[in-house]
Amino acid sequence: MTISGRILVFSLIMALGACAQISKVERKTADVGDAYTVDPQITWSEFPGSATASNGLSWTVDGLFLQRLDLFGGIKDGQALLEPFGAEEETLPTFRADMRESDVQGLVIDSLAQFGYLDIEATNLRPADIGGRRGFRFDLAMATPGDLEMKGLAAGAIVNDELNLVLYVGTRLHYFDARHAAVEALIGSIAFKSGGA
Amino acid sequence: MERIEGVYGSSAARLKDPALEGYVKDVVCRLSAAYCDDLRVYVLQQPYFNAAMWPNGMVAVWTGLLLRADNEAQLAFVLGHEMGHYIRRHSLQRMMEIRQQGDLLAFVNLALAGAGLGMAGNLTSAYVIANLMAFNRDQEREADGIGVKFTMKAGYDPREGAELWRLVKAEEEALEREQPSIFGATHPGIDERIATIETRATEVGVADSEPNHERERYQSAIGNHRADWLRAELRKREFAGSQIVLEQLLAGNPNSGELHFFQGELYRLAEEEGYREQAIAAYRKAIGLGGAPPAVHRELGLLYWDEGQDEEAGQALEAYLAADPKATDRLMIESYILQLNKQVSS
Repeated sequence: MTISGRILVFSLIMALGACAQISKVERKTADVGDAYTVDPQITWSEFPGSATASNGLSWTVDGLFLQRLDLFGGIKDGQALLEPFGAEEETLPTFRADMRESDVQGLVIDSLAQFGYLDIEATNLRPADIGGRRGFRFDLAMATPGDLEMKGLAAGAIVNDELNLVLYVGTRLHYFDARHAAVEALIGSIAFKSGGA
Repeated sequence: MERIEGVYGSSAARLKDPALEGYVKDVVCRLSAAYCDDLRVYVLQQPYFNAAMWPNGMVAVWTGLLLRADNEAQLAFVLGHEMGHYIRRHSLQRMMEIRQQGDLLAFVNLALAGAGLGMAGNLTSAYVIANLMAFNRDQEREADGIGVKFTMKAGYDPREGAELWRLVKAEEEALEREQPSIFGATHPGIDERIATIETRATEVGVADSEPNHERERYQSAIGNHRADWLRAELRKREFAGSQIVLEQLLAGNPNSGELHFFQGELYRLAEEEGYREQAIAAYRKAIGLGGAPPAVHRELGLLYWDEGQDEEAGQALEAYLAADPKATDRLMIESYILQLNKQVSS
């Protein structure tokens, strides 16, 4: 059965139940698990306990429905990126330590599909320097079930068999572009902690 | 209902292919010219077996059904069954019952769930709502009987409906599902349905006629979309069930390079013991047969690399870039080839 109502369900849960937990991210550096730090660049709102894996952070400026930045640090073999509301654990796409960048792109697409996005296209997979490590980047385009067009980007690196990933998604009109420059600077600020991921 | 139809129409889940929707509508009209003008078809991109016909005439057909059907007769049977509910106003009766219970919101959510929208986005809540909307067994038997008559009258073999149900049953057994499929959640048991369909078909004398299946017409109508639907099928990560679906498709199209590619994809993603060898064999077969997407070379190359066959890996990745000169992952693949060449020469 479809999972595509999860975006709506998730947003309602965030709106109704988790308001008290939302906090501002005003630190000069933020820890992403034990894996790396970033400079947030601007003031974000953090939504703890969102649909990301336990060691992920979910930030937004304009609202999670319109734009979200997910930071994953040290995703281990067998761990899922996103854990959508109501998903059955055995059907969640998971990271494997032997994945290459091509496989990670597939993992992100499958994870977004399970999260409810439709018509997902990943393009421009390319090598990139991420925090001084060999990493990767790619671009995303997709739609919500209500046919709202979204844009996105992913940047990350597999370090010591663990996946570190920045995933940024926003509406194609306005909200992706609104914080894109800050996200690019944030990616440029990634600093892996000593010992790698 | 108008609001719900508006959501169907504008949803990203709607497969925006007028030709395919026109084809399904044509099958509806073949089944009954009298209702042809009243019914509006929406093909929804949902990788599960389901179809519904609503009291206002909107017909929702999920791509998971279209992927599983082998021929037009099978699609026609499902549409004929739904037409039975429509003509007998079963869903209208159920809607009125729900409304009397003051639970219209549940009905709206059910309809939205049919498009993969609304609060019933996940499997569990879909079952809950499907059960809310469940027709009773008498209504189902009545719809089955009407479905047999419609398919027979239009010249199709109604026993193909039973064939489709056998596939769904095999899939559910492979998945060891405690609950039936979405479509099945509101229907009698599968064995009972198969028996009913075959009994009714015999009663109307199908064995003495020469019904057609319109297989070629059907395969031609869905052919352009099958790869996308298979990708969506694999994204469900219900690999045991998808294997049953793929076996059925391969039985009907044994020389399809595209299907052998997806068989390789299933092996690769399911990661069962020995999957690399199985996937490599499937990819090689797909390449030999032709018709597989260019990605078959990339996946083959990456598996060769995993297996330490660096030279073959490099050749396969080169073949990928040659087969897809505009590959959007060209820069990454070129970096892989560079690494492989270094490994080979060292």
